[in-house]
Amino acid sequence: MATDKVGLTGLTEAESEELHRNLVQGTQFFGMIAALAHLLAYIYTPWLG
Amino acid sequence: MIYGKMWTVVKPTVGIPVFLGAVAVGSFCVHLAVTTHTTWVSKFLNGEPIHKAAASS
Repeated sequence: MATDKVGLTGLTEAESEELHRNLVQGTQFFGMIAALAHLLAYIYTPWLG
Repeated sequence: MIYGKMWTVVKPTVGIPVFLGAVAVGSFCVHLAVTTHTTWVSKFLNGEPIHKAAASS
């Protein structure tokens, strides 16, 4: 089965996919917070007039 | 997509700190650029209100 083949780092593909899903989710959270911060900056500061 | 398999090639103990570090450096550079190329950010950080009208009302 391909998913339990160990890669160069010693992780299996399934472990790698799981780690990546969490990293992507965390990055999405970061992105949403950043978007909110930009919205607040747009509203409350002279940024962009 | 294929990206989920990258951690079978890149060690997470290396890749994740590098990724987070890159985001931090990028964010720092943008904040520095905004602070040095605008007047209102440093004024705001030194306690001067941004909207004069709002401050006086």
